[in-house]
Amino acid sequence: MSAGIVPYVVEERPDTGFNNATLGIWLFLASEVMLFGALFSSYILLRVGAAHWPSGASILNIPLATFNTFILVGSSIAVVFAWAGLKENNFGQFKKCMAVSMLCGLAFLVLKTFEYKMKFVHGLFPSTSTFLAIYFTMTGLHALHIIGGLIVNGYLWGPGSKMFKEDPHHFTHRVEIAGIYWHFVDLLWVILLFPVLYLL
Amino acid sequence: MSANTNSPSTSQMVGIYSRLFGLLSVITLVGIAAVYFFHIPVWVAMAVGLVLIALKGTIVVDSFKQFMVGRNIIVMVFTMTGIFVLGLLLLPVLNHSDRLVGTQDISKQMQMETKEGGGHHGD
Repeated sequence: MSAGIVPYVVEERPDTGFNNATLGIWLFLASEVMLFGALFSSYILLRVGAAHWPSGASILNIPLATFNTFILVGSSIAVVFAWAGLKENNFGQFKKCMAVSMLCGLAFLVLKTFEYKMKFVHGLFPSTSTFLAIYFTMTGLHALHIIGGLIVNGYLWGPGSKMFKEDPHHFTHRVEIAGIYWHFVDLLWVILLFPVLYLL
Repeated sequence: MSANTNSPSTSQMVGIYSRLFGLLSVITLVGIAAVYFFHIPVWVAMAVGLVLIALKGTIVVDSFKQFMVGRNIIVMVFTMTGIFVLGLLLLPVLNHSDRLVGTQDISKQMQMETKEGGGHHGD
């Protein structure tokens, strides 16, 4: 092992209680919490300072967003079952469940695109109002996170899955790390974005 | 989902995640029902919404708590993250209570300068 390269080992380090990849993903998620925390703080600042703030229900499509919420929840559950399949050495279950998870993610993006399109058709752009500016910023950034997660999951489902034959423990760990990220993206929508933008 | 040998078994993990997402789904439905269908006043809706957000956050932290036991580094990281986010959330309060350079004062000042036709922005 040459100097300067962090080895990808599945074993936990005694000093941290995690292996490098797990610690790395948790640190990354902590930075993501700060990123979206800053955006949420901006939202509060803009809302408190605004003379008029529209109700999300009056502008946004709540039934569609609710459906999208449950699609994301389903996607996260499918990732858990995909990981469980690998833990039980059931590669077929992994393939099916990960495919379902990715399809759910894609469906979320398609519905989000449809929602955006409907806004644009009605002349509602980020420049229209402060509410729409923060709405498009936060949901757009979240959609970029979904796209990033789909790329990683797609790789693990497709070409990356060859690793399961050579080193199943290592591959299972990769899916676990990707799953943690996917859960974070899902929870971000369910806990923060959907209630704050659509319901409050 | 954890590789730790001391962590719950696969079936237990699936149960934890299923329970977590099930609870979040139910709370989300309650929030939608409260805000969208019952047409409650805005301030009540905001209060209900914030309580539900806090409840969801608590459930998530509770679900992941057992993975953090004995792993002080990640507890420290997320404690620091929490403090930082709390600081960010307090910024609007600080801004709102700042009577000298609050955003409303700045906008009033800009309007006055526009009316005067000067537009002098300091020396």
